[in-house]
Amino acid sequence: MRAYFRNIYEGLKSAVAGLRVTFGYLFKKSVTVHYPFEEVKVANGFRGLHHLKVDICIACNQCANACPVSCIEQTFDRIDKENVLVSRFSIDYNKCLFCWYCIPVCPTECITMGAEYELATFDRKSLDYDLVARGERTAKRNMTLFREEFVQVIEKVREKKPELAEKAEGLMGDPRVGLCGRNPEKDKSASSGFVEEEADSQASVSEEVAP
Amino acid sequence: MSELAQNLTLPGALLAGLSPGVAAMLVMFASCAAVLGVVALNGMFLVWWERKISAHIQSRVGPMTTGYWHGWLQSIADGVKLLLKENIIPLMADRWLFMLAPLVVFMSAFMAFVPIPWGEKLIVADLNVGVLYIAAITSLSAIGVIMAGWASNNKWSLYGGMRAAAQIVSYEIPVGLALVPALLASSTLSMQGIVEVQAGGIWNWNIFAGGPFTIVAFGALFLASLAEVNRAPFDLPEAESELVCGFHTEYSGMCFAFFFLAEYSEMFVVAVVASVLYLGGWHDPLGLGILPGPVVLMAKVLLLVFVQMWFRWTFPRLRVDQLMYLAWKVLTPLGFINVFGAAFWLILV
Repeated sequence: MRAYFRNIYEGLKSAVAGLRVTFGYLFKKSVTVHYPFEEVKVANGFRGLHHLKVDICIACNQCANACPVSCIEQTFDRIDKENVLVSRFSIDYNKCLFCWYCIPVCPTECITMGAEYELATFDRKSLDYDLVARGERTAKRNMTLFREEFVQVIEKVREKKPELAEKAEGLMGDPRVGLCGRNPEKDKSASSGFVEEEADSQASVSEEVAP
Repeated sequence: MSELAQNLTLPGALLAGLSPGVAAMLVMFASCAAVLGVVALNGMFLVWWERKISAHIQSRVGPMTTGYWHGWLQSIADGVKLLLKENIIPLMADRWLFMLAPLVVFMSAFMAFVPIPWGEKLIVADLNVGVLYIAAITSLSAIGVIMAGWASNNKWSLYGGMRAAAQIVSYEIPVGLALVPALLASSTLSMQGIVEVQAGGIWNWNIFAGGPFTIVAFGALFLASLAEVNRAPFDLPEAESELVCGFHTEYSGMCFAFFFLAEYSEMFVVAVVASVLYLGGWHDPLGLGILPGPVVLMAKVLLLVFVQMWFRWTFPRLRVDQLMYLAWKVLTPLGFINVFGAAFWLILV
């Protein structure tokens, strides 16, 4: 008999305790993020879409070699010993598995992974991203300066390889980007002193390596 | 059904020119349309409300997009979807029984709306056995549930139907016993009569008429009525996680919508019964009589419905034997104590 009433008492007590908890939650702030209308914040180190700082990419192809699914493809022209024209750096997100292997192998740390994750599209082909076209450059360089040095490089190769110069000019006309690859070792000292440095390397214009 | 015509003072000119038979028919159709409108609107509102409450209890937000303001049109969108969906009948199902079951369940919920007193003169039919009528009619829905479980020809659905049968014999007695103290206090079975007895403020309500006994009886009625409408924690016939929705597993489209609508209408009806019997019906707590009756009744009913939903999203489902234990060994003795206690209290105090 005692157990019977104790049972009822315990049942009522636990019921009231449970009801109190849920009633409290009724007025707490919801954790829902209204995703398409609000942004979902990603954690630090999130492996989202790649970013490429085109001006320090040396087209060494290391990232493409490291890629387990071969989704990276670089198209570049060597202008001279130190300058490489990267005209296309494509990542095929149909294949990419966001494994991050391309990041640590980069000698210039020009490729990184960002916070974007919205890849949905109506066409499979549009998943083949050109990182050059999405172009970015290191913060220390500004666009006009970059164009100046770029023009100089073009002028150098104009006599030897007119078609390459033309191609570079055509790419430069694209308002989205100015493109060039440079040797980062030399670049470290020269953020604005490109023109002086250029005088030294003028001699080695002739050595070109086909991609 | 002629009370509605008199009470609402339907345009006399409209009815005067017609023969009495046609006029009665018109009144009947009008009443049915009114009840159907209330049932449908109430169902749609409660579905949306429950989704909101459940969401917020779980730190979610529920429907937000349809209708721009907190998804207030969600139920209409769902309703349209269910209307347009194909009504699938399993090949080996008992076709006619399968089609009939949702109608039986819906009819029982629909008919229970008839003797609800919304205001002093606002009632479809003030039956002199109103409470008995509602108790009888709402029990019919269990038959529809068993029909659905049997006709689906699906073992889980059949289990659901069997559980409904086991449940009805458990909860009907506590429900009946919990109704009695209120009837003792008001000495009538007419819903309108019960409300009229409780006029003049919260201290005249039946819940305080029999001292502690009527308060406990109100609690017992509320608990047992949860079992009556197959709501968690007594949703054994449905039991989503074990029986895959039990008796309505095989239903789709409009037949499913009927079950859904019936469930929410029954919730509403049992909340109305509890508030009419114990909480003064359409009388406001202070006895001022300023607010219109339907508003006061709706406020009380929605409060009780909210508690039903709150229970659902708090408690896990009981086992069959636990439900039996609660109904037979706790609520039934408690019901008898309440009946006799309230009776003595009413005579002696």
